Amino acid sequence: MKLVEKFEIIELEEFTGNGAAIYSIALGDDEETLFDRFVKENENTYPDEINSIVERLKAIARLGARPGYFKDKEGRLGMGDGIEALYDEPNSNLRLYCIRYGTIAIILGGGGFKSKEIRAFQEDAKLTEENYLLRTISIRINKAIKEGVIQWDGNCLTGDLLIDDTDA
Amino acid sequence: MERKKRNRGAALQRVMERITPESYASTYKQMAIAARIADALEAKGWSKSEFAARMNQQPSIVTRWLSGTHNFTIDTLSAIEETLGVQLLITAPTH
Repeated sequence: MKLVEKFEIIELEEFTGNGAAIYSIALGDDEETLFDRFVKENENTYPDEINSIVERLKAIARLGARPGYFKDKEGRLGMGDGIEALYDEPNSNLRLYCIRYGTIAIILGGGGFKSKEIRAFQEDAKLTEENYLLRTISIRINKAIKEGVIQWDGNCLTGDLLIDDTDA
Repeated sequence: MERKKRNRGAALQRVMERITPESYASTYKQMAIAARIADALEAKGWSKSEFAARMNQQPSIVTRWLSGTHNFTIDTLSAIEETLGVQLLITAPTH
């Protein structure tokens, strides 16, 4: 599994509410987050689904990241690095991965088209790449939380949200 | 260290602008109903399977209800209200 040496956790200020804080990840020195990239990649091909996903995220910011809104078992290597996907509507084509922290916060990754012909994400190269990328990020964030570099303040992450292992 | 200024995705901004209040209200209500059902199940200590059995439904149907993506009929809402003893009608979100 390829390690990610540098990334930053960025709050998506478009989604506000008392239910859950919503973050995404900017890799390296990118200013664009993984979620921004996901929207850009799919807004023209699947505009209605992108609208629906954004509406659902707006609602989650107000109602909380309740377990029922997500599909779990999208990848688990060890404690606390579970990757989930936003529950998609029956006829949807898109899968969006995230890391969920109880009901109070989610970190959005990327995703992509999920064919009806496949049963598992491992059968699709793009989904596999996005899923495994978020797993490595999740593991590194959990390490930073355990070390106290990143802390929780209510439902917000505080501390140094820029992870940089390039000199390590 | 100075925090990175996010280059706000123009794509996300476009999506936010084209979402209509009516469409968002519909999505919000579906998800709020799902939240109320989940809260009621927790209060009663019922599992999804137990609730499904009481509703004469498959657990996968209850999973769909709790996902916030289900377009409930009045009949289904009424049956759920009777089983759980809760009111599910949601008022519109404020913006």
